[in-house]
Amino acid sequence: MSGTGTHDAAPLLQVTDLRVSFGAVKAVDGVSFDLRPGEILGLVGESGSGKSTVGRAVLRINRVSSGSIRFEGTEVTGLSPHALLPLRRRMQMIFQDPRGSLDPRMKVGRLLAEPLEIHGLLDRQGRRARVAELLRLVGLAPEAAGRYPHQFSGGQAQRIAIARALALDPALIVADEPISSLDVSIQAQVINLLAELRRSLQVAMIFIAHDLSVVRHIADRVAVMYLGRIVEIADKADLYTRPGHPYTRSLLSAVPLPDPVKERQRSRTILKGELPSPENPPSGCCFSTRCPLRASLGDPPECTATRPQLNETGGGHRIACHFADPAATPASV
Amino acid sequence: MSAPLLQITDFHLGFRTRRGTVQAVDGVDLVVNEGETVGLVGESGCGKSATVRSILRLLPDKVARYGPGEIRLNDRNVLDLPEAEMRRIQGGDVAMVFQDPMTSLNPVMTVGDQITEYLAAHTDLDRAAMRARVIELLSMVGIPVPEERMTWFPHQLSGGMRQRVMIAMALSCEPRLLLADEITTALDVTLQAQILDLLHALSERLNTATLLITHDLSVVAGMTRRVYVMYAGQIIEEAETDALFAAPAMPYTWGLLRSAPSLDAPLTEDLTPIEGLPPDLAAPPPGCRFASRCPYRREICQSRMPDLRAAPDGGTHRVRCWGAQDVPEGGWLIGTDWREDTGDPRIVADIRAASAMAGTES
Ligand SMILES: Nc1ncnc2c1ncn2[C@@H]1O[C@H](COP(=O)(O)OP(=O)(O)O)[C@@H](O)[C@H]1O
Ligand SMILES: Nc1ncnc2c1ncn2[C@@H]1O[C@H](COP(=O)(O)OP(=O)(O)O)[C@@H](O)[C@H]1O
Ligand SMILES: [Mg+2]
Ligand SMILES: [Mg+2]
Repeated sequence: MSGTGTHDAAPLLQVTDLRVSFGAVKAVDGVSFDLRPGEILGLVGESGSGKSTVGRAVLRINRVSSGSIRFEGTEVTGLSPHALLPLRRRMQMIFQDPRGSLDPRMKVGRLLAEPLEIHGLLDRQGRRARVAELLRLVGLAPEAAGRYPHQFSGGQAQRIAIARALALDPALIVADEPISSLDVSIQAQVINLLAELRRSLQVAMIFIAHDLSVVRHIADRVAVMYLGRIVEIADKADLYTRPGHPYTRSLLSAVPLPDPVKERQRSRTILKGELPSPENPPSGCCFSTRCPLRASLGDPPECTATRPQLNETGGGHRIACHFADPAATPASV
Repeated sequence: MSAPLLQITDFHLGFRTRRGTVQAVDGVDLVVNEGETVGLVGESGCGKSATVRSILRLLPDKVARYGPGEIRLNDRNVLDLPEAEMRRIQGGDVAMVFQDPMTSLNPVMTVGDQITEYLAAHTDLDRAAMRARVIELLSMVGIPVPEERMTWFPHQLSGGMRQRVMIAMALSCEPRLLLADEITTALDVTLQAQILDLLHALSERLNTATLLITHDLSVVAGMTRRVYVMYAGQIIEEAETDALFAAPAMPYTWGLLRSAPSLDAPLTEDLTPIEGLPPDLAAPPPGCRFASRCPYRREICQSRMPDLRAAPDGGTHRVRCWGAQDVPEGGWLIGTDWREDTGDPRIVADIRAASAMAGTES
């Protein structure tokens, strides 16, 4: 199913040339993207590529070094914590480890009512009804309110964290690897739940994952990050059928296929080595030091001389590579 | 043919807890032959680690009760061996790598010293030869500038590098059997692919048999020759890898396959999770362990436990499921196209409702 976010609606979120540095580490180095209301953007890349930092900067959990973040038309980068408070309600986060994000001493009912209390919403009775409603939304029985988080399995705990994120009726949820700590069999439950919530509540999401196969089932658009930059962004159908950036293709080829015959026939290009240090990124294209395409082209000088821009190749598909030619290279997973 | 390298027969393992005995392993049969890579797959908590740790008797003495059953390594039952002999086997004939290398590495000792210590315990190389061997091992597992990296402490290395160090250490004495317990679960896909490739190449080169434990069926597809699928302490399906993926026989395995995201599936297809929760191993149900989550269940499933029997497609394919077995009271799932028929929606709704109620005790 493709996006319910309409193409002509004003963007919910506009991120422009976002930069976040920690000392000499440029964790996010010039990232721009839009998000429409109700849209799900998958944000994918290796560990350390800056995905969490983008998500946290959007929610102003991380300091922003420069750039602009407009949420519902308001520039949020310069806002004081006080001015930010009403916007905070509209943006929520879900983390990888649900247990770590839920206070173990609070019963589930309290955990879900707390955001409502903090923002002074609803009376006692109203809050109780809202808690029951939230539990129903995430597929848990009302009785769950009387139990502690540790009494639930990992998948159920993630449902509780999702319910808490929904309490204030947000317009945007940043889900930072929400399924990475769950069994594959349970991951599908959480993915389906988030997809369903998007359909019913029209909540937009930035869904962060290190694995392109996971976001394929939930995202409308996918942005691939490498070393603090977006190297490719496209509608889902485009990205998976015509991946243009050699990094995207490498990420696709790293995903194991649940089919031994195809697995044997497949020619994969597994990237060698690890991410270069973001303190000292390669000159020119940040991917040049590991790029199989550059190697196969005989190391053209452009790759190390100039930083490739995210160029539009049609239909909103943008690729930052001097030599990308998505039409010429169909996907081979 | 000679005896298998590892032969586990009707093995049981219980953990004594406040709530009574948790029967983590309940009659497991499993074989690994010399030089063979075998997968052991199942959801968290189904007893995979308990099974493999038993091979080296690595479980906490206070709570673990081994047996009844046998674990024969080179035709000797490890459950009868004296402690000193067990320690010789670990790191000698059998080595193990875990999910989280940080917990198995010593944080205050350099990587080089740790491998050296390991070598000293299992070989009689002199200092110079040992240093050369450490460098050789580190470069074998793809660690750049090993002379320098061997002087680093574990926290100075990335997660992927630490896992490479663990593999280097495990393979340092050329074990005949490598136990790899979720070694890529904590890594991103790129590192996972690198580590699996490395493991594949090395086990082939050294002719090391490998038992690859994972909750992700996709991981075993390209890596193994045979697969065991485990659920709630029991083997519920086993087959040659190709046969298992070509014709999985029972609903739990179908569930694992249907829930795994695949780059292969149509873009529009929804994932189908396995609904519900596994049973409490302190009080398992009388019938099939999977019945409480099975959308194809019938009366018999809840009352009588099926045995592990030959699957309809024959060969070494075995399955523990009434519906999949060609027996008078069963067989209703033979020939079912699991991709098309996802079970009875009313049962699915029941399972969902039951799990919405459940907060697991612990
Ligand atoms: N609080 C911080 N202090 C210093 N460095 C950080 C901090 N947070 C992230 N980084 C660094 O920023 C880079 C991007 O990190 P992160 O956003 O967590 O990546 P990802 O989520 O893609 O794994 C990494 O090099 C990481 O070490
Ligand atoms: N030390 C222990 N004490 C009590 N129960 C345990 C202990 N270790 C594991 N268990 C239980 O044994 C069962 C199997 O666990 P484990 O073998 O770790 O599963 P897996 O590796 O498949 O995730 C689980 O129900 C787990 O809770
Ligand atoms: Mg992160
Ligand atoms: Mg385990």
